[in-house]
Amino acid sequence: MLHQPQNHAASLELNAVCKSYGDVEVLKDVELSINVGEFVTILGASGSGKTTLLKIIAGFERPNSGQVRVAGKDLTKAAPATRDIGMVFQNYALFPHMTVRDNVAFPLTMRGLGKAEIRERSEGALALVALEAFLDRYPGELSGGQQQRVALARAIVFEPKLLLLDEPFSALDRHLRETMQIEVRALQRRLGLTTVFITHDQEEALIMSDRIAIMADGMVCQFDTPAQVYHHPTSIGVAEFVGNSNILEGIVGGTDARRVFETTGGLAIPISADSTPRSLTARRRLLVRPEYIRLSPPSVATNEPGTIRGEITDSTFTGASIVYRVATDGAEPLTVRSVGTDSGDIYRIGDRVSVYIPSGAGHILSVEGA
Amino acid sequence: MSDATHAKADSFRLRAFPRQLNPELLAALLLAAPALIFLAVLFLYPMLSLFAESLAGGNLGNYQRIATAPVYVAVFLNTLKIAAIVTVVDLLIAFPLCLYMRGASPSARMTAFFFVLLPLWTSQLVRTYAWMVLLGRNGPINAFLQSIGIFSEPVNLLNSEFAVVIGMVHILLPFMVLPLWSAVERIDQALVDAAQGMGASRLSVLRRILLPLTVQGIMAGVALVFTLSVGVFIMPALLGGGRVPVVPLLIEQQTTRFLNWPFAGALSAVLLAVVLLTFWLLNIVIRRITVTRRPT
Repeated sequence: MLHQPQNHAASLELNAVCKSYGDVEVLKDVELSINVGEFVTILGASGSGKTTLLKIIAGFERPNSGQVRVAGKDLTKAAPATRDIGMVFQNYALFPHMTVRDNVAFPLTMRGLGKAEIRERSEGALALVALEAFLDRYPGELSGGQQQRVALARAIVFEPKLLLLDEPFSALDRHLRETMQIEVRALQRRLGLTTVFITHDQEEALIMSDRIAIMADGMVCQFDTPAQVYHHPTSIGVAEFVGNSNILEGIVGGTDARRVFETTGGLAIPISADSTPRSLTARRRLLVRPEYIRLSPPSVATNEPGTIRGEITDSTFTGASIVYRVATDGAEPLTVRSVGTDSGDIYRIGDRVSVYIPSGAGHILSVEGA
Repeated sequence: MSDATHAKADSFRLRAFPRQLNPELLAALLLAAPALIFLAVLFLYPMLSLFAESLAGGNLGNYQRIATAPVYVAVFLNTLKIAAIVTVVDLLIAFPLCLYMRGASPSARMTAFFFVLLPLWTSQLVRTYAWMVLLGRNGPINAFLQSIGIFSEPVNLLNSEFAVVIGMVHILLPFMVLPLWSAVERIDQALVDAAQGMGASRLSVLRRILLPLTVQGIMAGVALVFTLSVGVFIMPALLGGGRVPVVPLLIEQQTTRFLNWPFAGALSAVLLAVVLLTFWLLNIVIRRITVTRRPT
């Protein structure tokens, strides 16, 4: 039904986009280049500028400077109606006075297509979201999930060059949200739709995206694949925003053959040679994801580098895993995530444990954000 | 007696005397009582006694007189025509104004509101005299029209239907703007954005989104302004200069000059009936539009 991606040329390009409201700089030189068929998430806390960026892409706001290009065409000053961009709004923005069929037919009617074609295409789009049975209902008669599907059908029915999703899952309950995430992603892949997805939910971003652009203070601080963003964040802000983390301060020490990160608290964590920064004396921060740290009973030998003893101070069962807080002997406290089992490998608060941080578990962050 | 029989007896009693047994309804009636008594004594009673007088002795003569004399039918039609013109003009002013206020900054919105509501805060008589000054032979409007060369000598703007309509449009504008604004204000900007994003022109947004979603506000404003227009007395009396015959003038004439209260009562009754009939028809239209478009 829709065009498959033909090449990997940029589908959406933002060049040095700036936006201020009065004295408040909301966007600072935002650069972003999204490939055809790619699913890109713009992830940021509220106030990071992500919503303003979305409005600029859709044309509801004009940037003070910079360029918005869609499929090679400069649309910076184009009216929203001429942009050919499909959008799903946070509250769906379905027209309450029109039936599901008329809602989905709206963009086609606005394009002046023939009645038969409008009918065929809007029914086709509703079939894609499994809502053929609800053609003559009004939005008010549908559940949240169904309304969302109508909004999605309406956004893709005119085969837009770009699909924008503005926190579309935030109003759904957890179970429905997960179902919709999978459905939307599957549909997007099937149709090869270039998609920009806005969210503040890092988990959602990791699940759905080809690439994630992390925004803070009106800037894109990192734009990379979910795995890169998670394992190799370029800044503390990104590391803290995406996933749980232990961020330890210290310096790189040891010998060339065996580099060690010495934390201020006194931990010595082996790090791989390739992550060693050029300047060794500067203070650094080390990111260690909680799931990389291993716990074992205190009887296990601790002469291995990266091993320290400690005591469990807190334990949270989350189903698939257990998150422990460990007070290490004489060093920084650590958060550790262990896979939950029913075999008794579960520690209680107050238990003594042996903590092991394997080589390569740490990722050195640049000193001051970036 | 078993519990079931008790329950049955209770529910029977509830159904038989629902008002007496419902304390909430009783409280509501007590709260509304001062207003109800006020309306009954000062509004309903005089009106009904006026109607009764018009039918004195079981005589329909007064009504026959209205229906058969062409002059009265003409005055009724003229009254409805002026009311219709005033209503349409007010709607044509109020709708764009509300759309402007919707997109305006809070301070600009407050200013617009201030000027719209201004007529409500000043005496109707003062406003009417103000219009007499403005529209007079030596008034600023005549001076302006002459200065731009449209007319070579003063034209008579006063004592005309035009003057009456302009004055009524002004005083009744708030009654169109207020209900309309409450409807326009409630429209989610995301709906407008969504429509534009899907390719809708400004005109399409107006026709397919803004108008259908504000139809109830439009109808409320139309009903208010129309009813009030039909009953306005001061404007036709002072700005019309006796050349714009409307029913309120007839009624005044009958009561103060001819002291024919029974005929004035008949005129009032027919006017009320015409207004109620108009409302009834309008209501059918509203139902048809809103019920078929958004069932709940």
